[in-house]
Amino acid sequence: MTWQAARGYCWDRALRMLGERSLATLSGVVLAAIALAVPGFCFMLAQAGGLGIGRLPVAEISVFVTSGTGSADLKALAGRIETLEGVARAQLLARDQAWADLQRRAGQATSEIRSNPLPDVFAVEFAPQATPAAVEAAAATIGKLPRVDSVQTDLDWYRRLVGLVRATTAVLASSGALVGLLVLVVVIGLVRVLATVEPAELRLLDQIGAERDFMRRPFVYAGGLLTGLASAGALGLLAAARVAVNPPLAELGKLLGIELQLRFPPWPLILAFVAACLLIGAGAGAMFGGRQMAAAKTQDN
Amino acid sequence: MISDQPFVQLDRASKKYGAFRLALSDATLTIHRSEFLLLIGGSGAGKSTLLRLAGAMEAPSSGTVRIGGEDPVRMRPNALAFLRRSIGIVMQEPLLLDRRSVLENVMLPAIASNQTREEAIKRARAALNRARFDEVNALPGELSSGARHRVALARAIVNRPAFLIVDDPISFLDVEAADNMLQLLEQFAISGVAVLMASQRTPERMPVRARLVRINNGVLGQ
Repeated sequence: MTWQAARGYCWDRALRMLGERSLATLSGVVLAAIALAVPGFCFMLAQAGGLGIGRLPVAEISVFVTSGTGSADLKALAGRIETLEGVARAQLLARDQAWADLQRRAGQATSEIRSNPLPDVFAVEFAPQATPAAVEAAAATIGKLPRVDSVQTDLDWYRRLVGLVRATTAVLASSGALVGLLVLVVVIGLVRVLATVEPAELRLLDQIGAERDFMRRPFVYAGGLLTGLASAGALGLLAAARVAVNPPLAELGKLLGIELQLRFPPWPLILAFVAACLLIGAGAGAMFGGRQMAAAKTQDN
Repeated sequence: MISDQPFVQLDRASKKYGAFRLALSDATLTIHRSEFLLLIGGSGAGKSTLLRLAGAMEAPSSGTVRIGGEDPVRMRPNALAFLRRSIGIVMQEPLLLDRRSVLENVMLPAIASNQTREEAIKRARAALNRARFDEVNALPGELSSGARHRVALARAIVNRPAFLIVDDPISFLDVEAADNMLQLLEQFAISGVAVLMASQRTPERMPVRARLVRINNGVLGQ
């Protein structure tokens, strides 16, 4: 196959291009790997935060019913509550059942109380996506319903937790995008600095009748190699970060009552990331190679 | 025997660098296959400019240059690359890739023209043999000026060119080495290659087949 020798030369030239300044290549790849790992790390943290929000304990309020409300009215009230936006379900804690439970647990302490002082209570659970504002609005509506004596909400903890997780996720996502742009600049700059050939060599290739693709290919390969290596390095750094960060993150999750854990992105995403890095490197190599070829030609004339 | 059709034809070709510097003025010249044309002129006379026009390395500012019947200015890049493979060029300062062995340097044009590695090695060895150079594994940095010219010559003929351009290969050689180089170039002409050689001085022993053309201040004269 005749193309093999030409491709072999181009690969050899690309490797020499990078090998001629091996220290600069190594430090450049490490720098690009770190730069690529930063948005990846932000992505993993944002993903962990997002999963955390999805698994937040649901908001719950207690609705105390006025005494003497009959079972038909209780059923109707439950129906009304469950139609409200954000409400997942309203579970009746019947006063008789609650009193029996209390007596069983308190024993002698309740023996002198002759009649059941407890009201019927609805434990109203909200959907996981319900915002604190939606929960408060529903609580206010429920408070105005007939047969409702009072509504007990304790949403401060919920509001703080959701706010904290959402803010962290938003900051990570937006700074990740910003860092991503910077990374693009770093990676393209790296290819520009390292994928270079002496103008005289390009003039020589032009002189001996090498086609443009033959001349450009080593730049494409060198660019792809650089970013490919950098992407592999970035994945290694992310794997190391997982090992280091997951234990303290899990502790924090326990304190917040949510599951917090860095997870490696799914394989298709990793493959897409590596492919994108290769394409960016190869594209940058082609672009800067083309410029060097044009510059060599200009010097020539 | 010299063919009737010129391989290279310059028709009132001029080359101007910048606004004022006229390096070549109204040059009209033909070079046939099997012809050995010796271009003699002092430093800055316009020899290298003419060689570059004849080798399709530069376009004329005015006039036309035709090589193998084609006008390089009007050719597409890949067609121009193909045309250049039929031209072997050895410039005054032969550019060799210092980190590659002599053999690899000489193989390069064959590789670039999509030959297999085996064929490229075979051709490179044959070209080096023809250029009378056998240190195939040496690095160019280890070679003398004359040896570097021989390697560059081997590289220029590796694709079996129809036209060979050699810029001042004898100025830095002693009389015997210069004579050897001229004999070698004459052999190429005998085998059907059009040879254009530039030199600052007229050789001590003029090759039999050589046609001598003088150039001074960018103007050709007989």
